[in-house]
Amino acid sequence: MAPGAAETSAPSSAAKPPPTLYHVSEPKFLGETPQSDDYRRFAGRKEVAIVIDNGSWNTRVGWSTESSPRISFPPVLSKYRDRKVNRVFTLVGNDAYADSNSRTAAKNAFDNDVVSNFDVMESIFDYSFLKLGISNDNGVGHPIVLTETLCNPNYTRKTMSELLFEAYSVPSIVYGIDSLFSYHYNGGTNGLVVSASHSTTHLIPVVNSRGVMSMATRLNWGGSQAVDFLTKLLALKYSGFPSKVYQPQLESLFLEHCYISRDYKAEMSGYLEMGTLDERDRVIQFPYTEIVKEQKTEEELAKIAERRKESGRRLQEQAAKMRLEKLKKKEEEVVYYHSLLERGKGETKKNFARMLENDGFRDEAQLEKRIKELEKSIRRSRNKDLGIEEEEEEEVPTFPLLEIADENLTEEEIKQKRAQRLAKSNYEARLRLRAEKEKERERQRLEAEKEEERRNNDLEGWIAEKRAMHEGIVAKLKERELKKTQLSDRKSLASLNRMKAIAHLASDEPTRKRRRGNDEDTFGADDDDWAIYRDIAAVNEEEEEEDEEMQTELKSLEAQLLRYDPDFSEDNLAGAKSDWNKSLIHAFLRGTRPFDPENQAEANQMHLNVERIRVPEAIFEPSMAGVDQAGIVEIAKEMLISRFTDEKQSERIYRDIFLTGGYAMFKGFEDRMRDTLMSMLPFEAPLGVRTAKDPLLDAWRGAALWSKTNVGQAAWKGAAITRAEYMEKGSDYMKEHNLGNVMG
Amino acid sequence: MAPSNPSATMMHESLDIALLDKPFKSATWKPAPRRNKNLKQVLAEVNRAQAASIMASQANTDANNTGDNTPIPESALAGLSARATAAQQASALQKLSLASGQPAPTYGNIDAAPSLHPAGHWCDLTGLPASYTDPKTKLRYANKEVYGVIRGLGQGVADQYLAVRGANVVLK
Repeated sequence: MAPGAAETSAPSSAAKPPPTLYHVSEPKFLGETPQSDDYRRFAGRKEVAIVIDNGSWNTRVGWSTESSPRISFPPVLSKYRDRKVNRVFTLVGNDAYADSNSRTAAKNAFDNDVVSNFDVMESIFDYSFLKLGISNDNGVGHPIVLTETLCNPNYTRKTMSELLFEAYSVPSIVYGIDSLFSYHYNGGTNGLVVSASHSTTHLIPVVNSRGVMSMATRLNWGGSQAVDFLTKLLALKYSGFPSKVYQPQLESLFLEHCYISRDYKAEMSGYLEMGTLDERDRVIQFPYTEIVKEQKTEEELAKIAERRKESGRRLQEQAAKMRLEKLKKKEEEVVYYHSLLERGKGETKKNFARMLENDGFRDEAQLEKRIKELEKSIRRSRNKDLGIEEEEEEEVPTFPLLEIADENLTEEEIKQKRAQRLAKSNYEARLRLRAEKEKERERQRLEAEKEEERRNNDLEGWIAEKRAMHEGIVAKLKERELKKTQLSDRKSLASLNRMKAIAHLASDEPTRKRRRGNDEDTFGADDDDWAIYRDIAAVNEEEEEEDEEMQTELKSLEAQLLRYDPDFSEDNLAGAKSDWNKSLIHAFLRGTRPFDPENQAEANQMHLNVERIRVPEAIFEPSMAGVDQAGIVEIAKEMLISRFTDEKQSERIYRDIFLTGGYAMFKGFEDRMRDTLMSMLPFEAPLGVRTAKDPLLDAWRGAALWSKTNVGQAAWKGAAITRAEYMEKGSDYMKEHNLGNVMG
Repeated sequence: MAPSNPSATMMHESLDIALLDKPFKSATWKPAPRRNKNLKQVLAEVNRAQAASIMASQANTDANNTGDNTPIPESALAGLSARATAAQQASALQKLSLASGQPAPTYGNIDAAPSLHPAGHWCDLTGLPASYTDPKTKLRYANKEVYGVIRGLGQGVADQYLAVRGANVVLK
């Protein structure tokens, strides 16, 4: 963060319009998914299959005779108990996100790309068949076409078959790979299917409409990993972000703002350049509550002022009353003391002394002094009450006894003389101090005058001098700072020297350098020797004090320079040395505008810039997100060049690189694939890259198309596991076909 | 105690599918106990089953052809070298010994191999191309200013940055 960014706002940015804000909010519940009421059209038609694209991002369910799935929902189940009504709710799909209670209880059916939680899966089937409106007794009377992941483990398929045949009594099941269905829908026969989806990325070469499973490869990177990556990056970028960031919000940030760079390195190098950053920087506003300062009306303000005045007056009155009382008391005292003095004159000396002692006086002089003091204070307070300014005439004290020699004095008087001498020296010291102060003031005035004169006569020279001073102080402070950081590092030269010095001081052994005849310890002979103790102190108070002094000097210098040097602007201040306008970190964190941490709106903003290309880029370079696998293009290249021995065949595959899956929807994915593959493949290879018409839904559509055209045909029979076969051959039984997995 | 938010509860009631009539579902269906296994457990079981079947088949071949030691076909081994990790090779070899010629693809062995290209150097903080590495934290950085930030990082934060690209030291 750029220090001083808040107080120094460059005039150029002040004129800048506010940035476009992208808001994130809690995901809204879209409402209940309606149940289809047209099941009559499908009831009893065994040739109409229920097609389920069972993906880890979304499950899509519909009829094979239709062009789009009926319902689409995340494969989650939220089973939670509402304590208030003491009832367990079973909510599936979007319904699981109905409110925050159900959302936190939501469980996904998938572990990575494999179905692992069959309780959730069963609820998903329940939900799907309910929403399709199926009302058959004794089972779902339609074949099921179900997609599964590449090389789905046998256990998962087995459990799935058991579930579908036993619980739902389906007549037959066809398992197939989603991306191959998508390729089928897009009319491909020979090519490389690149399926970049939610949990994984698969590359499957297809020859003569059949997936070459022996070469199929998986890259463990997909949308979910990318969202995790983004989450980590943002958590580190904005550690201590004031508001909570939810997973769905991060998902939406990833989907809305990320894109794939055509030339990553080149684009990344210039991504944070201030001049053009505005085009790339996305400001994400998180919800926040403004701390509103109450604005008081003028009337209220006036009232408050009046109240304050009133209370002030009351206090004054009280004080006056107290003063008056005190005054009265003092007057009484004076009268009493006067009478005491009068009475004393008539008495004997001894009696008078006793009387004095009774009232706490040592002698007559003290009584007189006291009376004088009281009278003076009475006079002063009276004058104050009456508003008379009293001229403070300081009477010069006299010290008469000092002039007289001791022989001529009584013992008592010698004592007094001593007191007078003390008072006199005090008095003189006071005078001296005053004179000195006066002199200093005079000197400062003269200096200021001289400097002003110099400034007026030779502004340039003055500025140069002050600037040099300024730079000197800044350099010195920097040096101090450097030394401090070096000392915090145990291996730095500064710390090593310090440790050496400590060891040397602590050792009793004489150093080797000392020669014979010169083994006298001369430490301390030179005053500078003692500086060693200052140098080895870990926290140096003296230096800290000096630092403070330098800071104040710096401040005053800067104030002067700001005032008189036309070229010295706020950017030149020592604190603003890291000018946010030139700061890479500022651009990274706060974009192109100054940042005010006090502003609640700005404090709750995130700036997405480099993340926009950095996060999705990991599919090309997984190592940058900690996945130790080759990138998608390297896998493809290796597959096409090294593993396909038949050149003609691999050439046919170059012609059709087919991209499908949600990740393929990122802007620039296709171009990037084409560019990078082109640079890796042999010269003039007939490269063709295309994206599925709908990378999300084409898997479902392909499955629907395949089952619609093949149902009842040989291809269908070769792929579908019937209920009879399941009963006869067991739940492990599977059939290999063009678009499905092979026995593993 | 009245529900604080009756509308939410009502909404949940209308969404709840637990009590709905499901005529298509078998009345006698009871899910098998412990059918939920996470991916790791599933893969571990696959490996165990494989190992067992290989032991059995080895015992078989040993019994069948004593002395006639058929080596594994070389072409099959060459195909293997493309798949990189040792574990994968081991499991693929097991497959091979089943005499199928080519290892059958399974969930465990279709993972892409590590990259043979040199990894790019990117600034761990800003993501820009990074030419420098801090010898102390091993973080990569783009310029002097980022280096200053790295120096000022709190304890453990540098490790979090490294963890993002899997380069942190994990003590086991």
